[in-house]
Amino acid sequence: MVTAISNQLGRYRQDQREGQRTLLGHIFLLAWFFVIFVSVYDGYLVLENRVFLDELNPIGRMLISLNGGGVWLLLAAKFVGTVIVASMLRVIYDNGAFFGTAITAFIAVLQLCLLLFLLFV
Amino acid sequence: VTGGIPFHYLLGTRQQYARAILQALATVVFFTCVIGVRFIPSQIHRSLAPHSISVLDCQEGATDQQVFMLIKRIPADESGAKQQLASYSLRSGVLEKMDVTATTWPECFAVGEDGRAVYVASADDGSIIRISSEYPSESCIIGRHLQGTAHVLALADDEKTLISLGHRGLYAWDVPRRRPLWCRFNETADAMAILPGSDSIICYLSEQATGRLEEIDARTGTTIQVVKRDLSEVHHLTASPDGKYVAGVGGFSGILLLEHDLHHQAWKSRRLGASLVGMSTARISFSPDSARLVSANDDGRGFLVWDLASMTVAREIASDSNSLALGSVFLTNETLLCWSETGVIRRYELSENGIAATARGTDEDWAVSW
Repeated sequence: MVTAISNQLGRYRQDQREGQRTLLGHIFLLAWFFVIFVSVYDGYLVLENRVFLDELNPIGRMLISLNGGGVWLLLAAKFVGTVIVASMLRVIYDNGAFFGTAITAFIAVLQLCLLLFLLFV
Repeated sequence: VTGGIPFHYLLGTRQQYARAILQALATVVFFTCVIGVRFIPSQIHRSLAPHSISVLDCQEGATDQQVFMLIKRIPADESGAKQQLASYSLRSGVLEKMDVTATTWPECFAVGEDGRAVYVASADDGSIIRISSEYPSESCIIGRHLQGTAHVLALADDEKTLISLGHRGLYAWDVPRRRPLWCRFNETADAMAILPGSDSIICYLSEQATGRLEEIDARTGTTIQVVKRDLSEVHHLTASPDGKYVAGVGGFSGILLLEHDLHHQAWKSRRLGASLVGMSTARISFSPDSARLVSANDDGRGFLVWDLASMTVAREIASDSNSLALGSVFLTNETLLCWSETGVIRRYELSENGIAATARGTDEDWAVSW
């Protein structure tokens, strides 16, 4: 009897952990996609407004300067940087779901701020 | 060792890394495709469709191999035309966009003596912006017209005073200090010329039906003398490099030529080519030695080079196109650059009596670097 209850409790706790893990997984995926989307959208805006681009980021300005006024070096750097960061977030999540989700959610909030800035400022 | 930062979360197997990079790469490519579906077709259409280019104004750059142009680029579907500032290299035939991030619609411009600084009047908000023509360009606002925008800009010899004309106001700006020097708010000024080697400007101020030409002190804005009264519209004024002549075209036939009488400090006016009627809007220009003047010809489709000593036509340059001549500028005493309303630019070598180069007003022909 005691063993059965113990087993039942164990299964319940396992289900709960799996449920939490599933929820964390959903949050992580959502935030991870959002981070990548904003980064790609930022690149799109750079490309679309390249004629009248007023890059505020000093590194971005340096890349434009190195490219002789063109935006392709900046876009390439954005692409590579996005892939590296997204891969790192994925590895962190694999090693610790909670920690990975927290970091990704934090970056997603920063990306949301960037998106609002790009759209409304 | 790591200062409390949990770097161990970043440790993984090679397969783990490979999977993560692949997933990230696929997601980035996916979003790029999703956004690109919206963006790329319009860009391809925009870049493949030929832009016709109309040259609105042209001024010499630092060398006789470079000119600055105010152009209008019109896509084939005639939507989204843009007015932009560009520099054109006569040597390479490449028209390069100038980085004027501070304004989306330049209205007119003036170039400094060495060609490094270009002053632009913005049609967006009436501001006058100084930009460096060399990359990376830096821009700063010199000032802003209180009402309307500036439609003519001119820089004094010392490059410390910039004069701007608007439909509501005549302004002078202290360029180093970036503040107004003086302003005549209630005047409507249409054209002006800064007299080289003096502190005066000749300005056409319009009244209700006619207008007057005034000589104005560029330092204070006060009228020195009224040069000519009851003059119908003047569209364009230019001064000879030696400061002896001022020429103007407008709503009258021929060219109004003012000659400075230094002895009496007065201006004598005369009319060049009084029978010519087709030149009312074309820009005119003196040669660097002030011995010749170029203008549009009678039908407005070719150019005339006037000899100022004899006041006669020294050379007639016929046009092989039907487009209206918009202006011409002497690059050297023997080199002339002429442009027409369809954006065709021709360089003439007067000594060789022929066309040295032709560029037609399309992206393809200009080798546009945008």
